[in-house]
Amino acid sequence: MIFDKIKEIRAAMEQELQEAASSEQLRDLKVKFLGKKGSISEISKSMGKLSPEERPKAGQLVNELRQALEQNLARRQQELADKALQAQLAKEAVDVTLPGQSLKLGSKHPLTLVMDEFKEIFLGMGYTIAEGPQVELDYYNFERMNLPADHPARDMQDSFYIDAKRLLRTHTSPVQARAMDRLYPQVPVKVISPGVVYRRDDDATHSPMFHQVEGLVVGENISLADLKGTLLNFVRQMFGEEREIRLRPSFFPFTEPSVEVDISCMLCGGSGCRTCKDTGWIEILGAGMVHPNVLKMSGYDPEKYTGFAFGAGVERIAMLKYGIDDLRVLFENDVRFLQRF
Amino acid sequence: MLVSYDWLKRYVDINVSADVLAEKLTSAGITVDLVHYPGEMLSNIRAGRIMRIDKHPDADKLVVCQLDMGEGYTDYLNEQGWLQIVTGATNVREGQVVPVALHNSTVVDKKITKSKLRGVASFGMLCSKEELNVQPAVGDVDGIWILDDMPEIQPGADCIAALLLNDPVLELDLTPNRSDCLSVINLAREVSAVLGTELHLPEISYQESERQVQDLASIKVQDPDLCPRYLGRLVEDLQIAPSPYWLQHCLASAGVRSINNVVDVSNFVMLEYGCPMHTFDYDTLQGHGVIVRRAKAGEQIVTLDEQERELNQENLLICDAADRGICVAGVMGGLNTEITEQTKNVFLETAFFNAVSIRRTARALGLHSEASQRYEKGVNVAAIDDVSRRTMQLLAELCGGKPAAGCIDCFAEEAQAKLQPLQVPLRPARVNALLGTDFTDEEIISAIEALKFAYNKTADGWLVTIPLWRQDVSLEVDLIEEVARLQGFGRIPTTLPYGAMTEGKRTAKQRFAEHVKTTLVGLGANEVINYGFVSPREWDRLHLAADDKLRENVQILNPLNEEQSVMRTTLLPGLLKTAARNASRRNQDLLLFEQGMVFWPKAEAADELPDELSTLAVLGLGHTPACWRQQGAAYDYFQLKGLLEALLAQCKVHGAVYKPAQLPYLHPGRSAAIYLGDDYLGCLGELHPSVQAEYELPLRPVVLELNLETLFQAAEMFQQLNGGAVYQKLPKFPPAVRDMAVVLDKKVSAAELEAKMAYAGGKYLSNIALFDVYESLALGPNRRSLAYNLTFQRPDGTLTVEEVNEAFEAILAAVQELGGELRS
Repeated sequence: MIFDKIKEIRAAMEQELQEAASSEQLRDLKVKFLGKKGSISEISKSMGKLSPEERPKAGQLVNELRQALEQNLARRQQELADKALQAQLAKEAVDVTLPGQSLKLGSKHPLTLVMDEFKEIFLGMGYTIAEGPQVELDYYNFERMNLPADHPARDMQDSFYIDAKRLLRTHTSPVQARAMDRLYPQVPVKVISPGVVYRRDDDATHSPMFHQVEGLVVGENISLADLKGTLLNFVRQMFGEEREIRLRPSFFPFTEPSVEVDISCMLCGGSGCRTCKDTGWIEILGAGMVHPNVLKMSGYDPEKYTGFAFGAGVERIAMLKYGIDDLRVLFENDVRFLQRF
Repeated sequence: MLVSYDWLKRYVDINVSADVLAEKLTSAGITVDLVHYPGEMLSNIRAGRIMRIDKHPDADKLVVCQLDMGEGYTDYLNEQGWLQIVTGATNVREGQVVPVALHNSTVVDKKITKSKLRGVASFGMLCSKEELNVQPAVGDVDGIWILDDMPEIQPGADCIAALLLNDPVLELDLTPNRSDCLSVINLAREVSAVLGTELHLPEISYQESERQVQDLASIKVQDPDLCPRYLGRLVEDLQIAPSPYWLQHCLASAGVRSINNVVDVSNFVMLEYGCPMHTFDYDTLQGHGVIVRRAKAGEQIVTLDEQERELNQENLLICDAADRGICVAGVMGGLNTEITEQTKNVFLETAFFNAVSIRRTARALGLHSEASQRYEKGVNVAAIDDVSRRTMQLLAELCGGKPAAGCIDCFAEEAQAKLQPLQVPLRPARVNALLGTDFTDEEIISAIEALKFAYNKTADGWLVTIPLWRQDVSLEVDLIEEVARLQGFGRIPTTLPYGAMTEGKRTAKQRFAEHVKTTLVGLGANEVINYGFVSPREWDRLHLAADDKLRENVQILNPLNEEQSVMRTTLLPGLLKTAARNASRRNQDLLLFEQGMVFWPKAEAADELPDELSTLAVLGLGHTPACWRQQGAAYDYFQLKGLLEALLAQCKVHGAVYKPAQLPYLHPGRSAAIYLGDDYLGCLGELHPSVQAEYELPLRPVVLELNLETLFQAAEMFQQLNGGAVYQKLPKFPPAVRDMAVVLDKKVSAAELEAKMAYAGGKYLSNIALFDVYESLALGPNRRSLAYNLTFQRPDGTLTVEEVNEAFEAILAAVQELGGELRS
């Protein structure tokens, strides 16, 4: 009798649980079956009427029923919660291909990027960074660079003058003279001087203001081979490990011997293309061994100390590095251009 | 400098092609920019003799020529074995030898094929000089090039080879130290050193007449400081005529036009030796003599180009014996003594002038001639007599002149020392130390030998005698360069300096400058770089008062134009123009910054340099970037102030004070002067609408300009005070937060109110944060509401309600003192 009842309850429970669609219904079912006046309480109360032999068996069955009920309730509860969460997630889904919140990053000017790279490379080789005035004395800009007044080579650098003694520096070399003055008699001197320079030239390939990075090393036993090694190191860091360099004789009043430095073309790798005018080589900077007169003027004895110096145009390097074919865009500062860097 | 391959070959054996020669010279430091092939377009041009000329049956202006094309030519010949060509030229005569472009040949800009001209067959074309890319001489008759003065060219000759029509021309880009190579002979010496081949310098000899120069002419040098040497010779009875073709060809390849034999010879020898000279018509020299002296102030002379030139005491003038100016020394001759068709007797000047004086004169007159260019760079004083004699030789050979005997050589004694060659030591140990090489003694000295420099052995090397034509070599390093360039820079090994380690590091200021840039980039700004010079009119555009300090600028003496004539005293004009340029290209939302120097003159003294102040400027225009879920914020005062606050926070600089600014270029109600303590840091504000109009900006920009030096000093100070950051234990106890909205007069600034609140709030008031500003007439005229979150915090315990209330009331009392009240 009681056993039939248990079976009956169990069947009803399973069906109703399955039909419950909300947690409220589950709560009602829990009261209906497990509450104080619920079906299982009712059954437990009626157990007193059973014979002592039947009672343990019935007690066990009632317990099983209770356990099953609790387990099923919990499972069903979880199922419903999962379903509700799924529904919520589905409702919250977005089009992941829509763009994100716009957070604009700015940009450094490409010339700054090149100068920064210069600095990193030479800081890594133990150089310090020297700076000096843009409005400079003729004395530092020319005389200290072995270019006395009326020297024909002054024509190489047509200058903007302020008056007879002051001008806009035509190269960052005066910074090196100032650095030597400051450091003498210390050796080795190892500086680079990045900065703005001015020459009286304005056409498709010349800007009246442009940027240079020059370098200077003075010490004992500094040789042209050291210059070549240093520049090779620089060129490979700046333009890639495969680059080779070539020195060609040239002339600067402040170095002797003087060289032009070419690098193997990074576009064609040396086989010849439009950029390198089919030569496989691209002129990249000027350099040389510091002229004994320049050393002497700073107090360094040229018999005891030697040095090398080099100078590169930042615009040219930026143009080569980024494939810019028009110098003027560098100074137009069109944000569409700037934003690419 | 241009020189033809064939001309060079007259002085030195060349066993390589022009292209290879160019490459070898370039790698030895004599840069050949380009090898021109003037006749590369020409083909199939053959000499022919005109045997017969008939009138064209149907055209008055055409004639029909029959040509003998020489042996071995068979195409299109008629029964007589002649080639028929129709021409419109009027200078053709029977018997002449002329260049003929055959069927399927090319001349300048056209291809020639057989055709019919007005019904008559023509199997080629008779050529003019232009059609063969040869520059006509000054006296040439228009028409076909008649080759009769070259008997070696006979019918059948290949004209391209025989007339050197495709003789390669080397275009040199000489460095200033190698002006010796403005001489074909010196260039030949260089070729000989590079190729290791024999030199063949001209042998100078000629027959002198009985007549003595001393008796026929006089020279008086009054200013030997400007003219250390003046040498004169005379040649009589010469015939002015066209130059022979070889001479015309040499000059043409150098870009010099042939004029007549006398002028051509002087140009030719100038190019040969790199030493200019001047020829005067002897018969026009009054008193048959010359005086060399400084010009008088305002003295005038009409030069060869028929221009009247005014001189001063800096210029050296050649005068005749009557003291009449006849030549601006070393720059340009006078019209009054010019060589003309009638000239019979020529007085020849070869001289050594002061290079600086010539340079200044040429500059002042704006006259840069082939002559002045060479004098400016310094000619070889020792070569002057050779140059004079070589000219005499050619004037005798080519113009039929009779050189008078001897010369007049005014050679200042001090200058004669220049004839003594320098002796320079060369030590192999030094060569290898400086170059980083291991050249043997033989390798080193072979370079010196190739250059034909004499030398003697010494204990540690050699003593090298520097020839006078190489004035650029005066030190041992110069010789070392010669060794390096002739051995080839490819032989220099690759090493790195060794020795004491050095520390590569930035200074604090350099690190700071980079940090500022990086921060601005992080805040969304694009860096721009503008020129350091601007137009002085920018000061008007900025509406600066007449006495504004920013108008005191450094002025450039020789600017390229007004736009670049003064050094900037502020970065703003550059940024505003950049913004306008961008706006005109429809880049309408901008956040730009520039970090650069501005220049403030310090004093008038010529050896004082201006102050160069490291400055930062930022400009915002339009809106911050918008996106589909949010509109961009307008770049206004507060937008840029936020950026500044972030920058200052990133620099760990606190306590900036903003005071209303009165700057002519900023909006008077929307601009602030920024101070750090007593130091003026810079300004921030929206641009004044009338300045906006000056720069034609479509929207009102907001700008910021800071003195980075001041900012750096402040950042350093904070850095030193507490290492840039202060560690504080995080509070363990919960804070109490209260809101307070107060209504008060608009004249009370937020900064003033907050200072009072902070003071009144006592030690437990840990933060005051404004969250709302509200203005409404309902609040009363000129009143506004400011709403704050006040945070109270006690480090050692939880605040009681009473403590918070007490502080709150104290703050309220302070607000009331300012005329404020709680917003109801």
